[in-house]
Amino acid sequence: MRRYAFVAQVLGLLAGFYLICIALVAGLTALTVVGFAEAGVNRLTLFLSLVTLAAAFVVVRGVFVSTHLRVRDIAGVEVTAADQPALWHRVHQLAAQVGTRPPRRIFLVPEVNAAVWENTRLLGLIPGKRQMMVGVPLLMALTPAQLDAVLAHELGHYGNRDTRLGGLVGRTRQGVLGALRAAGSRRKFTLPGAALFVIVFRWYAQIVLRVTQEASRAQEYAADRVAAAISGKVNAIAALGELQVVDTAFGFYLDRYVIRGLDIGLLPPPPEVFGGFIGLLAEPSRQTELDELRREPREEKADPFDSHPPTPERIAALRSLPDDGIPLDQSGLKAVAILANPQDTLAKVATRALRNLSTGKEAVSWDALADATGRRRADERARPLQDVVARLTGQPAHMTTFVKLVEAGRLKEVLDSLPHTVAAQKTNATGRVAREYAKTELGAMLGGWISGDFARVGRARWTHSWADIDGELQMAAEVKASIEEAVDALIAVRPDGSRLRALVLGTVQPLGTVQPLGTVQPRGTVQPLGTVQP
Amino acid sequence: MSKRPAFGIVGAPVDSAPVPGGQRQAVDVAAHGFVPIGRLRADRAAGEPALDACAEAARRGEWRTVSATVPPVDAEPDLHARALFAVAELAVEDDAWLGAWLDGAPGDANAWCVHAEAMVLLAWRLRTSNQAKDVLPEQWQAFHRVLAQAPAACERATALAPHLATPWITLMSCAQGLSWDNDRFREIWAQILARAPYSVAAHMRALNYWLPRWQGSPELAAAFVNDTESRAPLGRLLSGVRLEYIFLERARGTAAERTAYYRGPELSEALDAAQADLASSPPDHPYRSNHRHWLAYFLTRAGRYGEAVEEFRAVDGFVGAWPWKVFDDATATFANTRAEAIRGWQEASSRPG
Repeated sequence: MRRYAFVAQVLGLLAGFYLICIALVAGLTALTVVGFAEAGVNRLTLFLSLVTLAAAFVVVRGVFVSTHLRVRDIAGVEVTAADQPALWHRVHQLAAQVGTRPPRRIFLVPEVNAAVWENTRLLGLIPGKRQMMVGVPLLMALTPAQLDAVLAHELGHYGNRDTRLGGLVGRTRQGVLGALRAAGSRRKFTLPGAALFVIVFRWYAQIVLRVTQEASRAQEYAADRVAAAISGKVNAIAALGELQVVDTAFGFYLDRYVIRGLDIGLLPPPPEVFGGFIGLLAEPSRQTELDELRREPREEKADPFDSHPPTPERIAALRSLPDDGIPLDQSGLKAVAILANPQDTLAKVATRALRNLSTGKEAVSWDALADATGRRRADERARPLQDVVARLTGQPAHMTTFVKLVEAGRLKEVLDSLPHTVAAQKTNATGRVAREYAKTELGAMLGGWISGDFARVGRARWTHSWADIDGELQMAAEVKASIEEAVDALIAVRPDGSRLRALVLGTVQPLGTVQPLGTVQPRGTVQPLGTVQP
Repeated sequence: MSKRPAFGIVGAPVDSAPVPGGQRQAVDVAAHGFVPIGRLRADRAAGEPALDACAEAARRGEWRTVSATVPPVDAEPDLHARALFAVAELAVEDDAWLGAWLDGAPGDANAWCVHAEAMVLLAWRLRTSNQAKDVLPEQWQAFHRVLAQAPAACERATALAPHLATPWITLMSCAQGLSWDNDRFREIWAQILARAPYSVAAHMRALNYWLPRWQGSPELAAAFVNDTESRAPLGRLLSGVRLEYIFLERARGTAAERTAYYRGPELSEALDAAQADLASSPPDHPYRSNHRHWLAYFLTRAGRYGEAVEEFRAVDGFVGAWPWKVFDDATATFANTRAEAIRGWQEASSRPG
């Protein structure tokens, strides 16, 4: 009885949604017509007609296209059964086990995501082509059993008899949320009348969500049970826990490794884009970090529109299932092994993913990328000090200029001129205390300046490292040591610039910018600031 | 009242003077011959003209005057340590005069003592007295960098004046901040015992190392205090170490728990011993006034107001000593405690019987 009441309720909500849509468009149209008839063409009536058009747009988005995912919106690569026989075979097996139709198309996407969707027609009454997307990062990070769990969960949304209502509930939710999305956030402009549409559809969305939340969540739990039945409870649990970890790791990898050189026009070569993710996951120190994340997952932000229950609750529900005897997949295999010709396939996905980013960019090796970004970082680090040196001397900021300043006894001035450190600001530090804080910064700036200079004359370079996003500075050990000593001596409580002087005169000379130290400017002969050179 | 634990002292007890009836009555301190709040000073105690002269000379950059004013290296250890540590404080904000001293008289052990201690004080200013978790990474970095340079200056002073205890006392702070292990610390302590077995300055500082919040434990700290007590001859003012220990480690918990503790036997016995110690101490003991500040504070806490007023009278006017300087507002803490003592003393003497 309750079940029928619920169906009636959801049907009512869906009908209500259509009614609101019709009422909104019809009401606005009528108002516009009356407006034009009564007042003719003027600002208000023109605006009214724009609002009406916007309402029609929002309604169309909500009613007709909201559940449709267009192929051209997928930043992935379609793989046919001929391309990837093993993957297709596995998906067919899983669909058969779940008891539902297999997808007709499969896409590999560069996201930490997997999904099955169906572009239904006539308000969901006529089934459409079923399609599936599989995220490449999942293939690389999950075991075969974990991937089975993820895919079975997605297929389970269609096959599970307990949730045959899913289509209706999903249709209602997606309709009203789609309209809300269409009315709200537009990046470049705001629809005329957006505020009105948002108010109407948010109000209705809240009602729909309240009624359907339980059913949606029940759907997720049911899909999880399907996943557990097929891949084993422990593997389903492991897959759920792993999703967040992979998401974090992949986001970190993209940010810190793949697109790090984008602003200086550099990208890793496409075959390396996903290969590198395997390299990062295999790095022991990163594994330690990921293990930490596995032990203490970050708290998820509760999204009131999210149809998924929180992960811990889903895991708890899975744990409460009876033991099925299927062991945890500890083979060490990754699901990516299912791909035929992986190198080319992943390169294709990467090329597709970076399509919008890669125009005009150069594909370089990881080491070249590390060296270029290392140099840029060194230069950036040195810049505040170089600015101060240029300002205090009125000369171009060469390392020799800085050495001369120190020799002239003006280190104190340099320290006082550097940007105030956070610690100095927090403690209102003055005098010696502020200068000691500044010395910490000075040491880092100087290190950047010197290593940048050394890199420019070919005596240092950065190589790629999965353990350290900054890469490893390659430099003769004794040179590295003498740089460290020179910097330490300079930022000592009683500063000593002689080592730095020796280092600069002795080794950076090939730069050709060294001037005789005889021209040291004593305090008071500083040139006017107007002569500072860029 | 907020607390500003100084010199690595974290979580020192904080009290507001409890007043029966809940209302704080104003006390006319001047009428009783005390220094008014506006004239309390935190930099130096009155009646120490030598230190005043040092500060003046340092401000003018006359290191020779500073050098001539500080006690010679063969002075009594506590006299030497106390004076040089006070001079070192003058170098924390500006050390131009100290640099000139080191350059001009590189063979002067006193200059290196001041340099080493100034680095220790500077390091703790950089660290701030916040709890470890609230210290910024750049503050830790500066703290360690500066503190790590102090041992070399201690060594330099020791090489120049092998019998001097002062650089070894400074070295204990390095051990504390640089997390040197207990055995390494015990070696330093042995050097101190050989040079100044009853130095109050040395014992006060060693206690910090043994606290659980640094490199010790509750047991090690208690053992150190007990050992000090059993070794110390009467009149050397080492009973003050127990008062410092009580302040830093024992008086904990809620306000009610602390109040109960202050009125209990542990503090009472410590105060009796400290008073007897003071009575037997030579009038020129360098740490006599420091000792009296401890007594003034704790006698008030213990409700022994009449005795507290006596101590306040003896050291009145200076709020830069322990324990006052640990608090955010040393002047207010001193003034409030003093007012509480005077009020309590008045009430007791006006009660019949």
